[in-house]
Amino acid sequence: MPPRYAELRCKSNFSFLAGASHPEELVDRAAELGLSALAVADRDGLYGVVRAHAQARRRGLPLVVGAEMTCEDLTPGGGSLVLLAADREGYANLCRLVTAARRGTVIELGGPRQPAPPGPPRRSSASASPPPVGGRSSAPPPGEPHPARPALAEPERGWPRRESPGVSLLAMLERARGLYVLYPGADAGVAARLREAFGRRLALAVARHHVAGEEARIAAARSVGERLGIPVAAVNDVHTHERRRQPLQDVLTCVRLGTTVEKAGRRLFPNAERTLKGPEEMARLWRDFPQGLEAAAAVADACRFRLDEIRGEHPLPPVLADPTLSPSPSGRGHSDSTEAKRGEGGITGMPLLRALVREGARWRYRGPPPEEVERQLARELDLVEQLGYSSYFLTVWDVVRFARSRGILCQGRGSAANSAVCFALGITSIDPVRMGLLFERFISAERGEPPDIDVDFEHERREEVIQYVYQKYGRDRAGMVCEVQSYRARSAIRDVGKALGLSLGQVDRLSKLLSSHDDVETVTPALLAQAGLEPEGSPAVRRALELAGEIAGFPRHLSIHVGGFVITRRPLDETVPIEPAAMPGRTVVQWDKDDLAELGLLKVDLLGLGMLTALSRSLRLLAGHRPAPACTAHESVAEPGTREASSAGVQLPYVEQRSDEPARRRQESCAGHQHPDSLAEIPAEDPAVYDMCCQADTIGVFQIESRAQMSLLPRLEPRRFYDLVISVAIIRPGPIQGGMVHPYLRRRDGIEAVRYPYEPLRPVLEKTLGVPLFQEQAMRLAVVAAGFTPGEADELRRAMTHKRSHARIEAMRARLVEGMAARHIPRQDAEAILRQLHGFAGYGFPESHAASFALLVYASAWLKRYHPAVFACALIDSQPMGFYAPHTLVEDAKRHGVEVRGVDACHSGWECSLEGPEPGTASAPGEVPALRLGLRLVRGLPRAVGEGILEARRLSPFASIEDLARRARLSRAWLSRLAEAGALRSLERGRRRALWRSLALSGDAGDLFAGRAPPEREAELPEPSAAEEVTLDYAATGLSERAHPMSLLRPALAGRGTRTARELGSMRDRAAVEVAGLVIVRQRPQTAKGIVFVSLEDETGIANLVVMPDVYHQYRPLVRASPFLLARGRVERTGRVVNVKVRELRPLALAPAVGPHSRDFH
Amino acid sequence: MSEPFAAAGQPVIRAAPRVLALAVPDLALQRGLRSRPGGGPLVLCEEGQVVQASAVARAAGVRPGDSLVQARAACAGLEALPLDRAADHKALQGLAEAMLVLAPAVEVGEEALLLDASAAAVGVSANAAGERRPSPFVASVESGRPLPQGEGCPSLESEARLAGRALEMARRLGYQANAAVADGKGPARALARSAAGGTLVVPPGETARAMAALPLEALELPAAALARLAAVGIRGVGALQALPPEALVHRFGLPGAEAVRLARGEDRRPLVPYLPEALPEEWWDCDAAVENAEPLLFGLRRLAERVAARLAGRGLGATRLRLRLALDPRGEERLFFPLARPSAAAAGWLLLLRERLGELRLGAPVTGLWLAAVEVAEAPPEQLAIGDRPEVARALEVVLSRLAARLGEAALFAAEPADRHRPEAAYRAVSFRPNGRNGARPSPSGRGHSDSAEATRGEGVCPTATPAATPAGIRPTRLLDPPRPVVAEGEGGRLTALRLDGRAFPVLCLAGPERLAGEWWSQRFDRDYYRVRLEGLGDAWVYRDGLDGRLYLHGLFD
Repeated sequence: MPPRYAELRCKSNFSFLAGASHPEELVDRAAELGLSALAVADRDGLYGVVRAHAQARRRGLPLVVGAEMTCEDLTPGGGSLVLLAADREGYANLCRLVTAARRGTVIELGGPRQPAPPGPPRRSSASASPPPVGGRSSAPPPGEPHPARPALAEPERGWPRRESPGVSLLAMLERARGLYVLYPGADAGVAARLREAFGRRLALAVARHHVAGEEARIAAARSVGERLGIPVAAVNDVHTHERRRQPLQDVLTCVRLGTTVEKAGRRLFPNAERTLKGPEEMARLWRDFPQGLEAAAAVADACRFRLDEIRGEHPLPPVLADPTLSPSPSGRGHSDSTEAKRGEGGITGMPLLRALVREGARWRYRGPPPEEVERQLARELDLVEQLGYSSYFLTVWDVVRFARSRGILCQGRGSAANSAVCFALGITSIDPVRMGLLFERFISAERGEPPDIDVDFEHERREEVIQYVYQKYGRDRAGMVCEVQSYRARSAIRDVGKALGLSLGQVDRLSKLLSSHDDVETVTPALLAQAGLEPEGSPAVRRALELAGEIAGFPRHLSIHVGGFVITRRPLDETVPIEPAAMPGRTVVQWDKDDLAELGLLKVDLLGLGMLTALSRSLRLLAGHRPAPACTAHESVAEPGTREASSAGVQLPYVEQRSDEPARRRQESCAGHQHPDSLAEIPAEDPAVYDMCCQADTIGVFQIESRAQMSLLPRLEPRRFYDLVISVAIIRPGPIQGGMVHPYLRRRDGIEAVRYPYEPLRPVLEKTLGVPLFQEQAMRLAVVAAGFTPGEADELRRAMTHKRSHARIEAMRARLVEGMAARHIPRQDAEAILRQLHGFAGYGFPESHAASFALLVYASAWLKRYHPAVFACALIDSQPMGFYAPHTLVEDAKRHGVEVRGVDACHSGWECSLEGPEPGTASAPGEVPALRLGLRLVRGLPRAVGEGILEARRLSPFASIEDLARRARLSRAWLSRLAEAGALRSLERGRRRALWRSLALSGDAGDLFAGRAPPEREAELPEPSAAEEVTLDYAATGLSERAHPMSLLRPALAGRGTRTARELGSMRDRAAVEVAGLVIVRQRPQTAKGIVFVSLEDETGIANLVVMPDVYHQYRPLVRASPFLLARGRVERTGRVVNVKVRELRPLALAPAVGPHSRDFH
Repeated sequence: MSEPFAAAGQPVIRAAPRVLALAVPDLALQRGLRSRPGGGPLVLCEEGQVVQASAVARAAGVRPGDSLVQARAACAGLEALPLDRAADHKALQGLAEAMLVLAPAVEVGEEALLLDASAAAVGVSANAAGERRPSPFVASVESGRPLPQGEGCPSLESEARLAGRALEMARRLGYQANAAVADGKGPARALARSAAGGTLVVPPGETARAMAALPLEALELPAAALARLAAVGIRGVGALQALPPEALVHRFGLPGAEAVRLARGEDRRPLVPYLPEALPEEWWDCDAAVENAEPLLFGLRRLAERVAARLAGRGLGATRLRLRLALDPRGEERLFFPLARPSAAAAGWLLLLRERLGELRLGAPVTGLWLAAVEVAEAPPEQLAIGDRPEVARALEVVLSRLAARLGEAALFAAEPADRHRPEAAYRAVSFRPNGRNGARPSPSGRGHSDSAEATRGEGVCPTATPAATPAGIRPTRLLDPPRPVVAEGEGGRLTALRLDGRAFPVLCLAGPERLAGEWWSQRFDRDYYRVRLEGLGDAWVYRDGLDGRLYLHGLFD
């Protein structure tokens, strides 16, 4: 009979720098070797078990879930125990122990955590979007069945983070039920204590690695086992799935220890024996002790828990209505029936959801909703009830309602916008019925997959929402999803190079050969030689590259997912370990979103979006100042007969509230009454806004401000909302790689006839002129043209959204080809469809998501069009966000007639502000405001220092620099910083004189002589030139309100015939041209086959350069790093889109000493 | 500040000393070109980037900042040398030693030498050993040229001549330099570094005017102060001179005060003379060629006493001595004497010297002796405890000397455990120490350390590693270097004997294996070690090499 063996002690690379194989590799190898089971037990964590589980299920290998835990007091120096989950209870205990080890506190034994309702709102929501569904904005949210907790005040401080995880033996003993324990030592006393706690679920573990002294340890363990009646199991303490990984294991050890392979010495394993071995090899190895193998197999047999068991455990806690609440979603109406039910003591689940949806629909449609909407809502609600997702919807509704109650702008995105229920609940802002969106893209009974609702919040206030979730559900029931940060080529080369003992200079040069998306394989010998590295002469360099290629993709550390939250009904730490994140106040689970999806756990994405912050700021500024709009009446009145009037009938959801008065409102708006209090009140479908978009005047506008978008807009000529939806979706890798962009544009321009490869596809592709642009269309296309079932289409969709999707889509190719052939679709068309589907693997948008984003596109474009000062002010204060640095936003505002005033300690707030005609006066209603830059732009100035200045200024204006220093308690360093930024301009003539005076002031803040200067003779300081002023502005604040640096060079440049960005617009195609400017964006998109796009800004606008790969390689250092460029080339004109195809590049020698200010995407 | 005070208690305002600064621009490049008379294109590079380029290379388009690959692409036949600042400094020291014949004090600065020009006309200068000898410069003045007016105040002409001689000497030694004579060393150095070439002699009291034309960077102020001054528009020394001095002190503290002094030519800091850091060496010339040991020992006693006295005065003890014997008519014999501990006791040394000289057979008579301490360490005072037997240590020194004489110095070392798996690298060679109390380590190589056992055996040394514990396994007391191949003899799959050098040793018992593998990054090894009891040989440590499949005897357990 062949021997049986199960490996019980195995670490994957999720032990973080301790194991050198992926969980999947370990499982595959174990299956090949014929092991009866494999236990993955990573160090103090369950990070890799889901991946191992998924692979084990595919390979049919029993996978035991475990962890190797540090026990602080097992022996005087601490020790390790391998804990394996025997059953569900054991698994829960394992999760709790890991949580405790990471949290560093004694486990709290006792009842479940008591959630609590939030406290009163922090601020008024007067300027926010529509009132929340289900409650007045000022009212607390619905209550909970549990006793109330104290009101939400400051965010919780969270759990303390512990750098060296570990638990006490007592804590382990208290959580012993359902756990099988392996003790890898031979101490009889410890073994006896463990036997008392774990009884028959204890085994001693012995390993034979052919190292000195181990035979004595094995003999001692066997002796203890015989004496105490504890089985002794043979294990191999596996770190690699194959011996060839040993070099990588050594390198990882060195990275962990911060040393080099040369210096690591005996801290490295003496040989490669800690690897997976098959039953035969183990039987040979343990010829003298076959019982060890039998014991190991028996332990694995006893550990019956499989991760599949937690699938289907419905996790979400119930959301209950508070009987005291108004039932009206908007606060303006109510439903008697719901009121009555609540009056009886509260409802939850489907009844509550149905009630909220009913009221929400009345609020959305200002009365009874249209019949088709009613039908859709009923269908969705039935499906939600059938699949049991009511709590999920209610949970998201509750979070959204909380945000609205605090005046935090939020909006659902992604596939949730396909749901009429989400629209009625106020989670999303798009009416899916009117848009004709596909609900099945969101939820389908056939798919059996949990829904995924993503909600965007103002990025600066998202933390309030996150802390609300923690407080409401408790940290033991809510945790953020983690994100595993893996080695990429650059980080891999950096760490491996250091471990191999390369010099810091070599490591730096090696890693700089790669951009963030490159693979190690892209490093060619020629590239190495260019960096002064000779791979032939340096085996270490060659070896570093080889090992870096192997380590790429290994997990390096955890970070927090951008916004994923998992919330469960039973304590979350029974399902997955929770640990404090590095960021204070955050706790994360040890699994990422793919792991959660694998096990069917629901997650809510609470995302941060900078544009929502900017919009919220804009609305507040409008409400506060009510400035005159930057337009004249004739500019913005809708022209009758435009495409909008004859469009497909898609209307903005805002329109429902005022559909009877669009023309009048437009007229009013141009007369200067455009001060919407919320996004919903922004006038819809304003032609002037679309005019602006058609001219690609969209710097700062959400989503359509990139260079690619700006090149598209003049061709797309958006005249209605749906054009914006298409604009958002079309510049994505999917449509670009699938070759959909140009056919769509040609058909739109009427150059190419609209045709359908298969007539039944007409309803699918009609909206987009026969070209698939959205994920939903790709799914439907597969169903209609190739006969896919909805389930198969969804599989296709998942393949399209998966990271390594090309291979998966390729695998479906045969099925698609066969299906299309059966429908007699011509081969050429079939090829085109396949190419399009393959293109979607590169990333495409669902239509619902594009529509949600298009709302923000329109809102931001409207603000830019009518209130450029307000918009620029809000954008600058919401940084970092968007595509452009603040100096580009300021230059753009100036080109739109905004007067920009520099930072001034006597007038600036911490943030930027709007001023009236006189500096220092607030802008009054009806005035055209000027933009005053805020103190926050002064580099390195802490907010506390800025607030100190404002506080002192509120008492009385500053009389002098000395007065400012004294009253605001400014040290000489901060005062000098302000002087260098030109922020003392109102107190001293000239920046240099202000700095000179600042430097003379004595001592630091709090000094007896602070703010006083000794008497001295007057110094003669030279006046700075204009170029020096601009240079100093950029150095201190990153921008200059005085002049664009290029304007200072213009006389010299004009003399040599260098053209401005504006002049480019009137040049003929193919004309030779020379342009120069400040580099503001460098892009090397993966889809562009090595072409680099560089945007040069001058005082007139932006010139777009196209640098072909050969030119790029010739001028690589310049393209990558030069702050200013002089480019020679030829004009390439397509309609109104003008590029310069570069032939030659030069640095701009005369440019002011302004450092790099570009945003680089390469 | 320690200003000299007059007897009446009034401070003496000391004038800034007259200083000749000799700046050697692109010293590294010049050093490189000196040994390349052909004058081909040459660059100095650091981290793959060109730092300095010769005129020929520059003419071919090579610029500092280019990558080496770019430079090679631009200039065929380009030679690249690595930048070596330590060697540059050493070269400057060499130049300074030569300059000691021109000035009583020479300071070695960064890319510049500073010579005391005040004493040039007095007629004396001092060499490194402090011996006063006539200055060649003065000699030339005395040979017909007019002496300067006023005692102690050299004329501009003589200063110019001093500068000229210094430049000429530098040129003869292969360096192009710029020279400036001014009040104070800071201004002189700034003027020399900024000079375009040739000699600049600034009359006393005129230094401030000369400095006014320099850029602010010439003052070598701290970067923060320089940046602040630039921020208020001060870019030249002249503009700085126009500012109220007190204003600079308020704002920049000591650097501000320093800047004012430099800009005004009021640098009164004295030169920091360069003192060659050499270990003592004494010589003794025999009156006539000597053929037996007795007269040599007489001379050696004097030499040893002198060298020991010089060492003792510096608190040092020799750990290694070198004796050179000049032979008649030419040639020499060198002998090295390792000492068991740092010692400045001549009597102890003589024991060793006598022992070796007694056994020495020379091919020719000896005409002179040089004795040098080539390796030294600090010698802490020694106090004997009850039970200590100093005669044992002395006897050990004799033994060491004999072993070194018979086996060679490389064979004499002590082994310390090293943190390595590879058995032959699991120890490191260190100086033999008879006991732990005299644990002073030898000085670094820069102070005379030479080809010691450490240098040849340093492969496994890990300076930052914590002291390694003894390896987990039992290791043989004797390790064979290199391991000896053995051949296995067996019967029915069982090992019965090992054949070594043609002789078979029956195997009595065998234990193992212990598997040691690793060092894949340099010289990979993969071995299975067995402890084998061999009849007639005892316990042996034998391994099977996983790379070539052969068996080797690596050690013996005694």
